[in-house]
Amino acid sequence: MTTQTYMLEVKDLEATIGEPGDLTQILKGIHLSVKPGEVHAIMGPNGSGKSTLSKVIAGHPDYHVSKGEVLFNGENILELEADQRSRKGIFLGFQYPVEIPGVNNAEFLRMAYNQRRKAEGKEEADPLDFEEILDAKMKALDMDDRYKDRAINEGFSGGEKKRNEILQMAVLDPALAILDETDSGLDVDALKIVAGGINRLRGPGKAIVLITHYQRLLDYVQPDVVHVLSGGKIIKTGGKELALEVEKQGYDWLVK
Amino acid sequence: MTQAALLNQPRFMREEPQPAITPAQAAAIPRWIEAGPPALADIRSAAFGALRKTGLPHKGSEDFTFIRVGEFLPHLGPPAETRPEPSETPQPLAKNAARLPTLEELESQLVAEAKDAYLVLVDGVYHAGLSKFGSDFQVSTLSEGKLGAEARATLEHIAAEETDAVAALGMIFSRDPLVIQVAAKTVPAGPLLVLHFHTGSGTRSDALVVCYAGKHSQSEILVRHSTLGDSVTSAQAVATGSLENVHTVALLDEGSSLRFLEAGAFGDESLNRDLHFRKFTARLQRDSRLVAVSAHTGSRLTRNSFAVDLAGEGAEAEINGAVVLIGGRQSHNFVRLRHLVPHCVSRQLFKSVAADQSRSSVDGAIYVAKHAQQTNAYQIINNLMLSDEARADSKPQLMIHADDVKCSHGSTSGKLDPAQQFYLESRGLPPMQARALLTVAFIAEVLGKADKAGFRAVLDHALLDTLKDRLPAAAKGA
Repeated sequence: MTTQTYMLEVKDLEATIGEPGDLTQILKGIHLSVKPGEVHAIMGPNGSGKSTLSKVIAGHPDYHVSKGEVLFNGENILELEADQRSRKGIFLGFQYPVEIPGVNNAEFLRMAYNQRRKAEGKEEADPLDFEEILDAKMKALDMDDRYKDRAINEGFSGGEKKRNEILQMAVLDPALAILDETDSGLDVDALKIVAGGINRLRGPGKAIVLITHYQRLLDYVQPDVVHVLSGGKIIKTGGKELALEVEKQGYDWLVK
Repeated sequence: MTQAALLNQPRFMREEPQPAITPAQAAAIPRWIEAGPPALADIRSAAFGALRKTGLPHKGSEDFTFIRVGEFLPHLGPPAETRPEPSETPQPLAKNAARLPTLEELESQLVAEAKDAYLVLVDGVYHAGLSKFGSDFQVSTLSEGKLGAEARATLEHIAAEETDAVAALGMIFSRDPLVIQVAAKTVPAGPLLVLHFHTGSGTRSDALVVCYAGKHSQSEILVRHSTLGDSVTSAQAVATGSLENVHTVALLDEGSSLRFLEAGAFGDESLNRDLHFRKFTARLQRDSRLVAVSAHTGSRLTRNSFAVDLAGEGAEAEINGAVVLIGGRQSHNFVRLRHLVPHCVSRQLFKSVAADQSRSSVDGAIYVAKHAQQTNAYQIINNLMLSDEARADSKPQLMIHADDVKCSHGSTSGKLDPAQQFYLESRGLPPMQARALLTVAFIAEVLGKADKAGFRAVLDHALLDTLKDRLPAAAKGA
């Protein structure tokens, strides 16, 4: 098996949080392999380590990797900072996107977009060109113009914040999107819009990892592979029928 | 209550007696007043009376809580030209050493909104030949006698009541105060830009600028300070720095609206040498509105003082300050805001960013007079600390003598939020850009009040430029 066939390879990953002397191990040996074109769903009970896994892959500084590797297109990314990973094409959709008063949403998106362009050796987009790109993406997500003038997530409802995450993903057009409970807190209409955004990203060169607590999202975004994470380990992997099974029976039958 | 009675409300007087002015000043000032234009004698004498009453600042002066008085006291002597014998003053006279800005220097200070409306002052002296403005603003000097009798009486009263010795000195020694007037019901097409150029060639320069907003007028005044390079000729001036003393008095008549946006000198080495004392005194009549925004990057010692009187019912004042400090620079904001009559509104917002070993302080008091019912006043002070060695002091105070008021104040100090930083970095922004963005966002609320795009761009650029080398270094500590 060559690593090149996988976009994302997580090998025996162990991660802790806390200060030296007071460390809590959260990930206890995760193995995960995602090929280009695939959609993987990671399900699991609260506290199983789902969010931690997404943050470790994205490079959150609070977590320490004590063992294992994370390869992205064959390259070990654990030595890279979060911004470097992002510019390589990894996107994290946050479960709880922070509010950043004073930073304009559209301005920020243009900065992020241009950082990505620069990393790819492409010319940066000027404000007018970018506005066209942004308008098209916003229209697809049924977002009105006032999102542009607002500060990042400031005063957004839960649903608006999630939609804004999907907008950022659409603008940055990542190779790998890890979406951490992007479906939670959405009503059905918003869920359909968000799912539509995810499906639009789907394609031969793209991989998506959906982290979710509920099976509901998977009615709208069909996964190729479903994993169940519990106690910091993936305890079961299957097809989309595994998600239905989990919904019917809960996690207990798997955990025991 | 009559206007005179209103003005005699207690100022924020301290109990302790202050040291008297020096014999040199006591002798020099009357001579200076006598030798000067007779038309200025009343204002100067009133300020001299106030100075004698208040004395010089001393350790423990309430007005200078967070400032070491010794740092600026040597700059408070009478200007060289007032001293009796020239032989005692080997230093060149400020007016001789000072040079005028070149056309290039002047143009570098213009902003898009006021390309054809600007006034030039050099070391506090107005230069009509370098200035340009239309008919919307009436510009004169105080000795020309064009300020209305009522406004002039108020100015004299303000001079007589001055409790800040440095501001009083400014009123005494300003050569011929600049007067900017907007006639009743006039709404100028654009703002007027006041450019203060400082040569730093004397131990102190004094400026007094009087702005009168006529009834129901609506105007904007932008102010920029800058230092002229290479003009410091005296070795002593280089060693001790120069104190730039600028006092602006704004008189807002009934129903008028004035926006006053002030930017400090930026990016100049002289900031680490010079002392900047700026006072903004405002008096608001019935239904008038004032918005003041001050943004600067401090200096060896910067003191921004605001004395605002809400003296007519329905008046509203908004005072905002943004400060970005690096190195060993200091900035001290001092606010005394008085609600003298009912139904007035005041809002204060101060934001400081302190890096390195810099020091910032805000000492702000709101006074509500006994009859000033239905007052609505608030004050917020936020400090962002970019280093563990920086220091920020906040001293919010409320003195309320009325019983039907809404007043609040609050103060916070903290570092950049790591969650916000990670969010931005996770979208591909390098850590330095993320920190810069968050730092600018922190003060954006204040800068947003300076809603003239060209002027705002000057502030954004200058504040960011000041911080550019500080953000990655600070990141390690967070």
